[in-house]
Amino acid sequence: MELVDGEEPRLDEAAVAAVVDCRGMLCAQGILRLMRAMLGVPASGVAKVISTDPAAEHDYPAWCRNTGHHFLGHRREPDPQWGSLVVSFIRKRTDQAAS
Amino acid sequence: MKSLAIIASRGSSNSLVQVATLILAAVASEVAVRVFFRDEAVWKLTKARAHELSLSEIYRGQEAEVAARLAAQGLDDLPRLLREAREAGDVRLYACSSSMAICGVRPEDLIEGLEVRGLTAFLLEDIASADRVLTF
Repeated sequence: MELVDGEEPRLDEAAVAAVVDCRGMLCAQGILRLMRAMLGVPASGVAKVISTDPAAEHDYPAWCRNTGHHFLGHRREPDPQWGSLVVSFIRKRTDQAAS
Repeated sequence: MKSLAIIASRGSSNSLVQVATLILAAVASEVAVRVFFRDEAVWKLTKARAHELSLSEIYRGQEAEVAARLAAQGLDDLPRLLREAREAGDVRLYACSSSMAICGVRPEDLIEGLEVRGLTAFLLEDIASADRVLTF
């Protein structure tokens, strides 16, 4: 699986620890859902975030830079309902266990 | 950026939704947020008015459509948005004591989660220590 604009252009999707569904959500709500979901991800675990907001391509990398998580990259996927999805992958920071 | 101070004076629903979503984005990004609601915003954030949809003049004639879009995005309940923000991290929401006096708003009239604070304390403590200050 090829990703763009992140730290890992190739990623084994089987390693995903959590899927965060932000379809239909605008920026702030998506970020809030992601923040809550990341609390349950183990340290160094990978979260997959599915978004319909095109701003996600820039919002999630910026969020990672501010919070210490690692933005691995994203890809675009066609979707019959939404037209296009932004699918992002984020690795949780190593010093933060699940809570 | 680790801390943000916001002064919100406008009282339309659409303006306060913008404030609420900005707070949500900030707190979800581990930014501490202090908000000072003044003037119309204090008038609006009372139990009697917070759930009423009151849009800016520019939306006149489009109220129903905008209301439907806000509802579809879950942005039509200001008290809930502000409660979510407080529960998500380091957020304090203040109502300006002077504005409350001018508007005739008592502490018990305010929606849950708003604390009464004076302008001087907000200026000298919250604004002075914030990394950035925004106004609405």
